[in-house]
Amino acid sequence: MAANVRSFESIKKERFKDENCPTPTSEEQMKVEESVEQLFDLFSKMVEIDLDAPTLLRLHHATFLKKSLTYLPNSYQCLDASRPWLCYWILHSLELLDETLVPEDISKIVQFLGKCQCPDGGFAGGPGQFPHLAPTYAAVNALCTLGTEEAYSIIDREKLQKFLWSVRSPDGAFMMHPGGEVDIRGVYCALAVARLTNIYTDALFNNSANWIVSCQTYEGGFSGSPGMEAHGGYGFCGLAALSLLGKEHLCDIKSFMRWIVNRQMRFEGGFQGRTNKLVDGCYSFWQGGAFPLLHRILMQEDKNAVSMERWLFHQEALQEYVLICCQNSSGGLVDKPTKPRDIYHTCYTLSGLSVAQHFVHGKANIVGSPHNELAPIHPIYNVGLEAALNALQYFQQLPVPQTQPS
Amino acid sequence: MLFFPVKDIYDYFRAVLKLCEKSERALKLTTDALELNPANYTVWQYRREILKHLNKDLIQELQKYSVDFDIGRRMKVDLWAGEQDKSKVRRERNLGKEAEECACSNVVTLCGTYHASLFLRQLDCHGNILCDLTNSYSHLEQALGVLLFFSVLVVKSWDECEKIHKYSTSLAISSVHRHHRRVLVEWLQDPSYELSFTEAILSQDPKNYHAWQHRQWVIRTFKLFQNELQYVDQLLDDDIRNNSAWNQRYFVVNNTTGFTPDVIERELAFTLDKIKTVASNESAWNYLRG
Repeated sequence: MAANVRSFESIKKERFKDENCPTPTSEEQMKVEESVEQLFDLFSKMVEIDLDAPTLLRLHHATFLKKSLTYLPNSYQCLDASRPWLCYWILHSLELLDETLVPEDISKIVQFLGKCQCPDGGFAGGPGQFPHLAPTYAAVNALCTLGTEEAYSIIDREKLQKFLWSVRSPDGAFMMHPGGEVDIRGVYCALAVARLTNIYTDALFNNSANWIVSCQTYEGGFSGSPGMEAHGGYGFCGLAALSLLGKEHLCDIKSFMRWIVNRQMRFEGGFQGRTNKLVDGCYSFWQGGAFPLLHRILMQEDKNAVSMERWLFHQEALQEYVLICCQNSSGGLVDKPTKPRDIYHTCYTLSGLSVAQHFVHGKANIVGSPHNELAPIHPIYNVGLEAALNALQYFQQLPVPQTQPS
Repeated sequence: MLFFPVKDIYDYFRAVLKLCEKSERALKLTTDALELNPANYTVWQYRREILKHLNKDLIQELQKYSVDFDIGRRMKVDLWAGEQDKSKVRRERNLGKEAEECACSNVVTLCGTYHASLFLRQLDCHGNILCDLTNSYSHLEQALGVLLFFSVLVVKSWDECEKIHKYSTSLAISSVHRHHRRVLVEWLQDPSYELSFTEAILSQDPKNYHAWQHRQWVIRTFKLFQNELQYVDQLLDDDIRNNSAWNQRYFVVNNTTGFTPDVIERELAFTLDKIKTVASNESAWNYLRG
């Protein structure tokens, strides 16, 4: 067996035990573990003849993604109001796989995203729709991933700042769109685009940190809005937003840490989003991506108390889950075995895989073939590291707009 | 309108939006557009503006989207019963008819036939394609009502029913739909449908985040804490590992009595009792720490 893979015999003792009290939660959990175990067993046989296993199916994934760029099946119709998301998921995944696009295609995508930009600032889910923070975040990330002068300059920063003002509420929280719902995604999306494009002002985010902290739950994670259940997606948004504000210390880091380290599944190796829920490949990033942020925070507190070799989760186990259980054999990645592939899960399983492979100072920890190594990401934005640094540098040279709330 | 392709409906919608037309036909157009894509926040938002402009009956608007869930819930009960006793098939078929009648009077479900026909074609091909269709984050509100409705009428095996049921439940409510209800309830200042509405969803999918979020908002805004602990207890009896129910328990205590020494003692006893039943239940331990 490959040296850097867990012994599957020894992890079988980590299987879920229902203590003779089966409930829907335990039954579903055990079903998933069975399907995962089948794949682990199959893999154990395969690795005897292929010492490089598990292998990332780079070519298949790249083909699937490139095909998705021009043609999507009908089932994606429901994402018609999320078209910048589709661009971002595909472009970011391709970036992780070191795949490049020809300049004409890059320009076409930039032009399309330009059409999603609204006359009063911000981006919409598609041309002619209302502006919304989520597609705004996706569009800015996609444009920064493309990283051309044309891509950067298509963002109307002054109007973008005005749009952010229009969705800010007095308590520091952000609505997803004017008149829309308020949740923690809003403040993260707003902060990410504001920092990335250098339009951040203190006034725009006055009180935001306190509002974010009010979403930390008794379990230690963050919820979508105060009172709700701690959840991986919102946990990332909360911690990343606090990091972008430089106010991580306002939340209870110890209890967050306790919550998040317990979200990695003992048997499957991937992450669940909430306590007593099932593993899902996309949390490889939403949970996994929070560990580099956590590492930085702990370093600031006490350099000597932090490992200088690895993040605070089992990086090899996560890589095993993604590589053995989440790859569709004809390209694309999935939530868990038996689930269909889609570009959302492709993007976030790959992003999580990249986090699990890389530690600070270029230290890599690659499960399986060395060719499995993906490009590193900037964990706060989830944009390729180089692309993020280039964008930050580009926008830093431009003056910060000073618009006021209207 | 029903069988116009997606592109046409959305072309019309964009035109209406550009002209700011707030008419009956514009409202109907939003219904069709939402049927095709319930995740389109622009359409929801514009629909609210039209509803307000035309002074529409908002209660009817709330009920429109509840009917589907109600049918879905009743079918689930019957489906499971059907698994035990195949002779109940007839009853399901009757229920299907009832649903059909209901559908005729319900424009949303009616338009749902567009999806249903799409869905039937997919189903004929293969289960996998079915997943692709139903599991793509969106076919939301019609998922329960329409898919279950057709599953009863058409699907041959109970296995398949179960499969459809699984894929459809997780899609019961989207964040945009939740927000739509919230605004309507705010305008109406009438929460009377909301608890049963969320219970219908939670009976299918007890950890549905959007349903809980809507429920918490309603309870907090209209001070409906009174029977909530009882409801939580019932859910924990169904599944002691349901972390959403534990979280709701915390929410209720925190917003009513607060964690006073007496309450803490009561909650400790409650939780330790649950831990005795399942010692490895992380939900209970987290609650104990909290």
